Amino acid sequence: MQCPKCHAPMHTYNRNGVQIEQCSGCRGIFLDYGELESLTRLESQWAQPAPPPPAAPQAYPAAPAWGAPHGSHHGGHGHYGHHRHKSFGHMLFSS
Amino acid sequence: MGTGETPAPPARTLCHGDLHLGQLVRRPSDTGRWLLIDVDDLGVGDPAWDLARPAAWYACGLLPPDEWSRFLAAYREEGGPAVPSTGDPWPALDVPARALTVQTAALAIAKSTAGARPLDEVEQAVVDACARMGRIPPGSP
Repeated sequence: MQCPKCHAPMHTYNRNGVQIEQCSGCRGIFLDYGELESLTRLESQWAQPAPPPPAAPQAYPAAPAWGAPHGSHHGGHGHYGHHRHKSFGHMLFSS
Repeated sequence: MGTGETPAPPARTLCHGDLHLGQLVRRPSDTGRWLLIDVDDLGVGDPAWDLARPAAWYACGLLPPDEWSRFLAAYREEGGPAVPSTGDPWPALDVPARALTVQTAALAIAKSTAGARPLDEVEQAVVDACARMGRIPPGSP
């Protein structure tokens, strides 16, 4: 096959099961019908997130299973907000 | 402790026994060294119990996650013995945090009953945590 642009001979390569023709002159690439889709599919597989590593950074630090569901109380601020509640302030500073 | 549970580990570290912010003082107040006072309850035991309060407050949703993270990171950085230096601290903290939560809830209910008033929001959060932990036995993942 000849390159449609520079007319140098094109060589066939197999890349991950996709046949591509590359020009030996201008290095241009020719894709047959369906090959672009195949490459797109391969790319999306490649881009899929790997299974999360066990020590993946967490949005919140670890908590016990009985812990308060963070972010679900009172408009997403839990029981803490701009003001410490009086009884919590008392807990912080007394036995 | 119920049957079939792991017995408490042997005592191993000097513990304050009543650690809270009211026990920290410094003089002069702006530049002095921080001192930990009130050693009436000092003893040798499992150091995780000294972390029970902040751990319980965090678990009850009273201590914001970022503050708990800062505290825990600083504690670990200084070589604090209560939790492993990396990884999940909760296997060590779960039982002390549960105990402190239950104690705090009992005190809250006693106080509100004595004062003939309803539980406030913070007290209710602690009671709610007791309800949740009742459904999840210690040592559950």
